[in-house]
Amino acid sequence: MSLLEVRDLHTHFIAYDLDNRLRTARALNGVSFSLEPGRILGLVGETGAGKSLTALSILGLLKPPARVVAGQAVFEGRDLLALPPEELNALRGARIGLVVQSPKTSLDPLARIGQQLVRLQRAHRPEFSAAQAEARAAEMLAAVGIPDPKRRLRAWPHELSGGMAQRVLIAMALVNEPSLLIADEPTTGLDVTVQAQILDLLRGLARQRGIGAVIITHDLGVVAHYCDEAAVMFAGQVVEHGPVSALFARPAHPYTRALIAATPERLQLRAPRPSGSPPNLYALPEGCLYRDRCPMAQDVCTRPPPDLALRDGHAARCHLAEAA
Amino acid sequence: MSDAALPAPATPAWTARAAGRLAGISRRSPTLAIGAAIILGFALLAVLAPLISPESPVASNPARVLQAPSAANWFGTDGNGMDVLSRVIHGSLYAFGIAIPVVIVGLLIGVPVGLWTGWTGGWPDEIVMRGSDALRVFPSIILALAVVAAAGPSLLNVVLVLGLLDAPVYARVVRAEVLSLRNGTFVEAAVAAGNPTRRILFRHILPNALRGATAQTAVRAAWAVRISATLAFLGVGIQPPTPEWGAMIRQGAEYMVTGEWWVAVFPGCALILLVLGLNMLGDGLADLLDPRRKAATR
Amino acid sequence: MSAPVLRVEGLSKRFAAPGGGVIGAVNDVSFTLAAGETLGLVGESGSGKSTLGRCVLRLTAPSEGRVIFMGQDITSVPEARCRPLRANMQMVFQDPWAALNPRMTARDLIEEPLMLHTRLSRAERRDEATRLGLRVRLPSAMLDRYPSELSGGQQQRVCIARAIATKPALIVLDEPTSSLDLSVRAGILDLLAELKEETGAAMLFITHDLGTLRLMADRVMVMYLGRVVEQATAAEVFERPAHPYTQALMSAHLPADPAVPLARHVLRGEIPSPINLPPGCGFASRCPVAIPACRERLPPLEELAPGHRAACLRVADGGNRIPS
Repeated sequence: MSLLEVRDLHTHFIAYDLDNRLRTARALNGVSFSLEPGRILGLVGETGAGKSLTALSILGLLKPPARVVAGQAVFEGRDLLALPPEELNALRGARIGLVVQSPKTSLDPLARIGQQLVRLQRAHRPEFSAAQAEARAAEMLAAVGIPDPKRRLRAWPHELSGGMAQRVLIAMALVNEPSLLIADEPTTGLDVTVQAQILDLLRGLARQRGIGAVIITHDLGVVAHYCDEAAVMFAGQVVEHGPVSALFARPAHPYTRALIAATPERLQLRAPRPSGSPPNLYALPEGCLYRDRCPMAQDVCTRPPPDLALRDGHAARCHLAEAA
Repeated sequence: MSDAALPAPATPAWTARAAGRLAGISRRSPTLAIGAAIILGFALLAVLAPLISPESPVASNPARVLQAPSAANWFGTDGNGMDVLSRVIHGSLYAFGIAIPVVIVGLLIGVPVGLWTGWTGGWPDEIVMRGSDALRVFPSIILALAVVAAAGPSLLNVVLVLGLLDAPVYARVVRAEVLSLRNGTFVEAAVAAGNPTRRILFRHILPNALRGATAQTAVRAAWAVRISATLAFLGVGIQPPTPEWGAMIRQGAEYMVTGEWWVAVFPGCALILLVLGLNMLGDGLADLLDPRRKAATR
Repeated sequence: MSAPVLRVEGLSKRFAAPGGGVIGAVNDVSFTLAAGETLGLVGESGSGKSTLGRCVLRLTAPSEGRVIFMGQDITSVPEARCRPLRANMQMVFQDPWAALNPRMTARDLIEEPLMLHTRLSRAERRDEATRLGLRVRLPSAMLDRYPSELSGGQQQRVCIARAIATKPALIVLDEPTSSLDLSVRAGILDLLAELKEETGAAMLFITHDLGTLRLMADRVMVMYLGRVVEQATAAEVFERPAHPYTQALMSAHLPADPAVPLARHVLRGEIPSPINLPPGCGFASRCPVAIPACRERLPPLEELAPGHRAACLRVADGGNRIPS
């Protein structure tokens, strides 16, 4: 059974504009993917594709005017989207760990690192004594590669470098032994030489503890080297998903191909390439959302594309996937 | 999110568009809408005062002194036999006649000072800001009392004194915005493009530094209405029989103990309502005037 | 190549650190830049690359050294006399949204340098702005929009149109593509490559991304903690990186292809604080091949091959190569 299975998730922003017209931005239009225990999934896409929104929707962290209008997110047999808030609260930070993008602003500036780790454990496991929780906090800091963990428990967040702060956040996400970890752009904003350290750490810990992880990123390099599976998002849909090796070797969706061709090491300057803006979420066209930019678009593309299964769990939401 | 143009809706008549916009703004900020409606109501009263008020506000009639509200005089009559309703209506003219010039004087002094001190920093900034601190330490009512008492209780004096007392408020908000803009990227880009300092200040910084001051104007107008009424109440502002609310309340206060409540209560309610409306407008504006916020909800 | 457009000699920039001490943001940097040439300046955060770019344009005054622009020493020219020179040296910033005055339309913004530096009439400026807009592929209807009504890529095109409006001899590009999405980035790089050829302007291209440099730069200068550690032609740097830091930086890049094995030298630790640097090589604390002498003596920038210089003591004994 899958650890997490997201089925046809739709999230809309519904609000009145300044001219009093009720307007709906269809930000997620049917996101589906699944994650097996112990595997790492890369959710990749460009700004506005809906990567972070997918995570927020699953975790029940949306703020108005955003709301989930349809779909399921089944985690360990329970649909997260149908759970009452208090039960979802009990899962977040316990069974599901979250690592967010900006480590510096995600730590409580007025509490020492140790206090924050202890607080988090005791919120979910009241049976822990303060001493037990503190001992585990120190173990956790050691596990994320923070030297001298006993002393570091006394450190304040502002005393940490960006890389250290991100390690602490990973420790916080893992301290309650979750079975699912969601990391939203865990290395964006870190220097490249530090990025490798954090990614190695994340992958190592996930493997060692058998945790299923979703890494949200815009960096195809991160997906290629640190993920087992990839799901490519465009305009609020997963347009292609499959094992990383298959997806990079035989990208089936034209958008995936364009994305790979635009990476610095593949980029050919002044070569023809699809251009244009992402579709207007307030007035999405019928049919394939990529067709305005797609060099291969045909008449059939005005109809909604199927999620075509290719070989080895590889699938693409494109009429022409088989031909490609 | 997306930069594609919105689908052009069938263009409705401009009245329908304006009505839609009004309804949209009211939905986004009911505070702003209620505040604006109150102010609009008072502005109409002020403009139409000569037409709609039943009598002259200063026509005394010894035959009907201190009459309770009745069909003939809805708000009753005061100690001179003047119609309170007519006086309340005309009072709105004075309220605006003080508030608007006070705000203008405050802006004319405060904005340039804030722009200059925020940009240059250093000792001019220190001197001006400490000076404005010193002004703020005194309760403004005491300061206003002293100056108006010395200079004479004319409308012009009241306006000048209140405007001057108000200037530091605008100077502060403008200075704070200039300070944050001064090291911002688009100002650096303007320097890199070769803009002279004058153009950087007036074309690049000033238009982006007025948001706070604009939102403040309504709140400060409320303050001006309140303080000028207080001055009149204390007898150093505008003098009776001018139909000014503060002066009317002062007159009416004497009659409260003997039961003729209407002389003071009606101008008092008008004053409270206008001050409330201005404050609501100010709060609503502060929310709505943020251009970054507008871009984010686009 | 012709006489250099820009010559920088022994440039240093120091700031007072907030808590006392001195931050040596740029230390003793020298280079020249010829017309039509693109020099890539690469380094991580805190390497001083942006500060160097600002010193070159006199947006900040250097603490030491000289900046000679088109034969004229501009190191200590007062700002008022710098202004006419600014027609000849322009800058493109990292975040186009922050670099554009939100209260001016795209057209106003593009016309501004023309208004400041040319005697064109209002109508001529209008025509020229339209032409510049088309040159950077902004349709003229877009020009009447405010920055908040443009996408990130379009905003950066406005910035580029502004920068080329007065046909400058030197353009400093500070991370011009790092805030943009992959597919948008490709279009901007295309445009910059065309402009480089067309205008013959010298370009100082500042970035942390080696992939982008490979496409854009003729020569590369690698900076670490305010010092140049390696300087060579782009081809030479990518084929034979001499300094251990350059090697580590290159191996930290994650190619978007799972089939390419990572020859990874993961560096330990993070970039040290630039306040009150110890003597010796700045990289010694993280360098896998450092020897005791590295912590005592500052390595000079020495020529290894014509045009290829590196600042590493281990080059002499051949121990500069990081074993994989």
